[in-house]
Amino acid sequence: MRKPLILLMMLVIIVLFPGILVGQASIEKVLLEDRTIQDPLKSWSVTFTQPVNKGTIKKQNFYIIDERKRELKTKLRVSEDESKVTITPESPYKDNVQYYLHIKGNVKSGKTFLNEHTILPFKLETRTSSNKGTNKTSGTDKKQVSANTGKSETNTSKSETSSSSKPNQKNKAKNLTSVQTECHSHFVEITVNVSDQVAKVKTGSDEFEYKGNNLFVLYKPDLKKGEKLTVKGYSISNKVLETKEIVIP
Amino acid sequence: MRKVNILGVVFLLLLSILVPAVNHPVQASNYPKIEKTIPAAGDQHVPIDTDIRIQFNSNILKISANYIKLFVKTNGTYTDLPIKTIRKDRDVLNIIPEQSLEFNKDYLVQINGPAIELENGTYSQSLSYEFSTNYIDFYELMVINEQRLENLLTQYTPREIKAFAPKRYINEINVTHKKPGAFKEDQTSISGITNIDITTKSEDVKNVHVEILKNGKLLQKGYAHSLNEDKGQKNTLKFDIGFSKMPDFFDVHVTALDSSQKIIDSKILKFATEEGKIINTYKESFKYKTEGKGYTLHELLSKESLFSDFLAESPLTDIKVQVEDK
Repeated sequence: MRKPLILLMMLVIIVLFPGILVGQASIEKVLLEDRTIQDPLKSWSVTFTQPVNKGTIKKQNFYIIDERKRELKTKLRVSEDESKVTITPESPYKDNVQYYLHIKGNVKSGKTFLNEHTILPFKLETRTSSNKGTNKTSGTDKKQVSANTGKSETNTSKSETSSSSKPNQKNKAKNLTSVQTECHSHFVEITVNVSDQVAKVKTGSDEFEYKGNNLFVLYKPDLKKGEKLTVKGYSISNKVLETKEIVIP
Repeated sequence: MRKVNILGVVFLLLLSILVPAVNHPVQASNYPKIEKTIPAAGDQHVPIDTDIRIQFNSNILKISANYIKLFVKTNGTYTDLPIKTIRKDRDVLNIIPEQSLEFNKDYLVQINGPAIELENGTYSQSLSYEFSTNYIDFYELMVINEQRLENLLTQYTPREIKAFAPKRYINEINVTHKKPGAFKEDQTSISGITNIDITTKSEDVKNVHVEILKNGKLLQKGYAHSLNEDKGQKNTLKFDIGFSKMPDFFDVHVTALDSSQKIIDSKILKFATEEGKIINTYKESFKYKTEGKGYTLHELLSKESLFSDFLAESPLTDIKVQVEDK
């Protein structure tokens, strides 16, 4: 007797909230660049440009798994202004084990859901374990390593070693070679010149049109003066090669 | 007495002049005539999705379809445009062509002889008028010459200005690129090979042409082969083409052509080999919400997401603008 009732309820939910299915189907995976960390208890914070819906801050949406897909025990914390979520491991990371931080696309920021499922691979490096204490620094050298649909930016809450971050920074700077904006009456024209390595350019869920010759263009109508946009260049395997923030003039 | 007679004659003369003049509007409404045509005679930039309508001053009772003709001007001469149906809706005659109107054409509507029987009599006059479906470039209005849009808005309201997104035919491009080198378990050296699969709609597409470019320079080109294996897939066609000695970074320019070798869709995709990988694959699928559809400027400006999709899904230079009098 209960089974038909449960089935009926599921059907009613699917009929009433078809977005559940649609939303899941349209979510895209974004794999970020590998990170090397030195702090075995490193916490990760995800900064959103708009307050995040508290109902979507749950461990199913923010979690860390290891290379065997075992989920780590973590604690989630949300900032007072609800714009930052911090994920802290309850036990230390193991040396040379590949971990993955997952931020699911069904997190709601502002009025919309993120439409990307972001994965940040990272590893604890043994070689520099003796320098752990000295490498911890203040938040001034925090590095943006990803952004989801223009709504969030994942920051390491603690800095990384200069040896692992500097080459990345150097490579990154080469990929989005120039970003230009031109305001027309009814939309903004954003032109991005890229390096050979960049195969795709996006801002949030909007994908730029490739015009050839390493030039991408996007015409975006819903922008206001002073609004900030995060432009990301991707490789063919959907790795973020560089992120740039632009301000609409 | 004579004076009275003269006055009487003058009075009668005045009556004979004034009475018809007073009664004229009533008489005119009873006389079968056309009130309005949509599009109007000589109209320019007529939207391709417009209905051809003729409004009479009385309800339509019977239509003699033989006397109603549509023509399209091709290479300077008018050729018959087959009519699908002619429908009456009270006092309005709707002429629906078999195929929808095309951009940049001149059309001629002709009614001969006693074609229409109205409640107030038979419309037996000859009627002949033209209109044109020429268009304005969206890119010109929105980017190059915004003043022209301002001028257009002084003549037409945003609800009367309509933008049409082009039809799209390329559904997917899939590039597999193998760098020159050897597989780990195979010591034989293999030169670089690149395979490109293209999936298109089956409608209208006859050929697919592929060009490989690097820094704007054409490196290789060729027509893709149609794959029979995919014939089971409804509404799609699959093509493939192979190239060798390709660089690690290149542009793939794909064009879909119809049976008259006219380009009906094109896409440029960027391929960038990743370091450390011998085989690289990259697939781009294209999904459209607005392709082949027309939206009024009012619709686009009032729905941000629609306008975003509209701008993102079509090259701005391929969007066409037409106007309609409502």
